[in-house]
Amino acid sequence: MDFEWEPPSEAEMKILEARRERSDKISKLMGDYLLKGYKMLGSVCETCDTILLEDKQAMKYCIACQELDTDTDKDDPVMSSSAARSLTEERQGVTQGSRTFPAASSTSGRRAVPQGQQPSPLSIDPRLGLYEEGAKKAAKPASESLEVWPNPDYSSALDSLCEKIRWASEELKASSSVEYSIQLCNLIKASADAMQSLKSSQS
Amino acid sequence: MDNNQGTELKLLDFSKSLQIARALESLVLRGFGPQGLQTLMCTSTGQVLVTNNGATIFNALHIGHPAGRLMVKAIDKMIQYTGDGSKTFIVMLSEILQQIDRKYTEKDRGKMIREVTHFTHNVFPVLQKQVLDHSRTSSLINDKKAFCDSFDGVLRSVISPHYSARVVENLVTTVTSSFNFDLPSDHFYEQVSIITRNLSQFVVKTVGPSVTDSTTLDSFIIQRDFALHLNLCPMEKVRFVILMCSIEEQVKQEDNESIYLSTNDSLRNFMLYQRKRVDKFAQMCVEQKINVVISSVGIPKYCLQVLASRNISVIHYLEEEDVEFLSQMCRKHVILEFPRVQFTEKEIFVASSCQRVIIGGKPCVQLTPCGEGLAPYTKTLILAAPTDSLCGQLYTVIHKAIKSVYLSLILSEGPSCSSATIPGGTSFELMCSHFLTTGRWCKSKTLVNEGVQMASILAGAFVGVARILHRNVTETTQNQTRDFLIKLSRVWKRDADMNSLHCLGFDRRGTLLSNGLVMHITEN
Repeated sequence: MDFEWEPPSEAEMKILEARRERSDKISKLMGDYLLKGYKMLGSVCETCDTILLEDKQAMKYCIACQELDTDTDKDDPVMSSSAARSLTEERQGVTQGSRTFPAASSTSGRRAVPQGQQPSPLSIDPRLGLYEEGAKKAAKPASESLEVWPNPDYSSALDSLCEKIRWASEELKASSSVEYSIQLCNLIKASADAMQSLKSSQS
Repeated sequence: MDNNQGTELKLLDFSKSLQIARALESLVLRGFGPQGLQTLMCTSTGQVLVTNNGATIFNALHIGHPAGRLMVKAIDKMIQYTGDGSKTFIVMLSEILQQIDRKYTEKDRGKMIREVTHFTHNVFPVLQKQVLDHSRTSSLINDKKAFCDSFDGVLRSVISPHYSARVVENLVTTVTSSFNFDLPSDHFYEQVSIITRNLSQFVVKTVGPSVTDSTTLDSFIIQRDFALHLNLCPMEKVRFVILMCSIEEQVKQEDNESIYLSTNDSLRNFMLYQRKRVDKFAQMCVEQKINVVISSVGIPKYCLQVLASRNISVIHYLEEEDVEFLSQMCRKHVILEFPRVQFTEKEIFVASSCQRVIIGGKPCVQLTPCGEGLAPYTKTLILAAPTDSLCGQLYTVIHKAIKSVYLSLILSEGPSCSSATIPGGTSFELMCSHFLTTGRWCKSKTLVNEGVQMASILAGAFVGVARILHRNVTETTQNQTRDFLIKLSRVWKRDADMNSLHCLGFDRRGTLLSNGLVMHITEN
């Protein structure tokens, strides 16, 4: 009955608008894939109910599941190890640039350093903790699945690496020295890379 | 729920249809309008295609979804009649579905689609009448120059999105010169109709030269060499017949006659009989002064020698389509069986000249039929392009243009042939949108609520087309939508001030058209 119908609230309107935008993005991407020669199938994805595409190798592809929904995840350092790594590298680049600050002040004297005050260490990015977590999570699947790895050498190597990362993270939190922090970051990065290599060589 | 074939029917989700329409729309959006870009795509067979033609793009896609295939088939059906408009179709469909999605709940959407279909069926004749009343018409008899200008304008507006200005002018001149504007109105209309329906017979594609080398040649070109050409000089006053049967008697295989003939002396007798048939045919041709024989079937070598001995030229292996076309154009009959005593007058074709020509390095025959009752047609278009696929694209564009010209013609009582055109740049869409929005379509004083809603949806779809064209012709800025809405409000205001339906659209830079610029941008 018409008089029972109520107009949607603002929140519901926002949800509807967001759904429309998502649908528009899917349509745009679908058009691009059709131009590349993909086939639009008559079936839909079981997860998200989007129309499936098929490539020339007859592999089915869901735009929403494999492209759209992972858009935010891939840039989130908490969820993605590669994002965590790249942000850590950026962080190292910043700290290396700022290492010249004390030397410049001592030689040229252009930047006055208040007497009695040590050059304050570059404030540690509060997200660094998250980056470490991301790096740990990248390591975590390897350690979590350690129990299924048949080779004991691999598992002991992995244990050592995890332990090192844990130790380095703790040290990093407590560290106030720039150089030491950089070394710890390098250690975490190298350990994460090593774990990745172990995982890929095992598979 | 099962259909009559016993297979299970699935309900079509509105959101899927909308998604598919939006996906198809996104393919052609940037190619829409006079400044449209070419689309680079890969077909399902791995072929790379560069095109601006909407129908070509849609047909090259690999669509397995039933709703998608339905949309593409609907576009194909429309193109067969109109020759153009595939991009406008998908844009309008997408806009209509989007509006229904925004304005109605899920349970009402299916009903609304049916209502819109029903409404458009009822309102379009009224809309068509309004548009024709506000079109610029020019008569072939009373105002020939304006008619020719209008003719050129329509050709130019269809061809210009695909080629540069210099090439467009060359093609427009070439195509226009293939029509005879001195014919009476009804003959001119018939001429355009014949050329539109049988363009493949009037066009010869040549690969190699550039597009600007396209030209016209008098009359009918048979794309095949003379099998036996005795006289290298052009022939005048040619009488010819067209065979769609063999001169020889055919052996009946079901009687195993071939086996029977090979086992005894009757083979020799059979060959003598065949020779007599050919001699009789040649004698008939000589008696009735037939100097050319055209055949859709192959003629054996010894038959050619017999005919050559009687100075009769032969063209054989002609395509059946060409044979039927010649027969219709000359209003004569082809020969379907032999032997007979003599050819009737209805079976003897007459031509004022017959000569060999070389087109694109390929030897052809130029034949100029003449005589009473000949259907009005004049010239053959020679379309040239550097490659085979570019030739094909050029043919598609020219076909679109000629079809558009044909659809712009009105043959009224008199007979009088007129051309009805309106300014381009989405003037038509804005005119329709305004017509639907202001309620002029409704004859009754009390507007029916649902009719108003349907009119609003359709009007929105027309405005959507105008918005996309405006976006494609103007520079990309952040305030593009705002600029468009400002211009739109000016169009409505001007129309309200003038109290008329003359909605002028946008020029090729996105500026509102003024009356002075109208002459250069036309649509049928």
